[in-house]
Amino acid sequence: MNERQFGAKVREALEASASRLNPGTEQRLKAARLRALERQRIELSAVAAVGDAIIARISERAGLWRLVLPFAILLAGIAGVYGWQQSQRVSEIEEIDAQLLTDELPIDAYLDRGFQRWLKQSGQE
Amino acid sequence: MLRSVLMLLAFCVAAAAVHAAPPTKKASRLAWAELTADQQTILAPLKEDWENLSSERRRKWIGIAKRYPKMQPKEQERVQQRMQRWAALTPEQRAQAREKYRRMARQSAEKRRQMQQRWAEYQPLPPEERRRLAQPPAPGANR
Repeated sequence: MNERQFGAKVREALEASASRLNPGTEQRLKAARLRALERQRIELSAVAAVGDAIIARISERAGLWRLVLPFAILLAGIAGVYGWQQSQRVSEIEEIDAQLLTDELPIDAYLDRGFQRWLKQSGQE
Repeated sequence: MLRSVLMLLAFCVAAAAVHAAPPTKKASRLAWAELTADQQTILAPLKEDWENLSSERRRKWIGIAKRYPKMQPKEQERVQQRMQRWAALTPEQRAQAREKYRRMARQSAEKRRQMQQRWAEYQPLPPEERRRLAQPPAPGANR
């Protein structure tokens, strides 16, 4: 609270004295301020140039990855699904072949056309 | 841009190569000599043909060999008897038998028993009768 009041007082005093500066001093202060700003701008732009270059490099790579990564993920996905389906198919065939090989009815019963037709004729299927 | 396209192209080629490579590798990995002694004993009827089997079929037979110890003695005997015949069938014949088996397996136990009985009844039929049945019905015949 005290601090704020003090600040306000200082500002009042400065403003009052600023309006009382002679035109020559005012002119020189303005020129100095402009010079300082100019120099700051040069420094900033040099830093910015380096920064821009780094960011550009990174984003170039990121851009490449943005392009390649989805394809890589897609391919890996396709390969995964394909591999999984293959192994599913093999294990399904293994299951059914194991049953066919052990079943009481011999394999020929499923292959013999005469038997299949004979079954149909006698209305058993 | 050109670089990205080239890199993508290289990636695709590499992916294709990686994808194409495994089957040949796997086929050589499942050589007869690399089976366990137990597997060789169980799969003995296939020994002569083993090198001609695709890697998929080799894997399937190894799977069946793994199931083998859990089978009943009667079932084990059937597997031994049928293995060679089954492997010698054409892929189409095997597909046909599997399809028929699937359909049969969906039926009731009663129907399946009947089918076994019918097969037993069918066996004594004279060969010419069985051949006649196997022929497609003549055109115009009463179906």
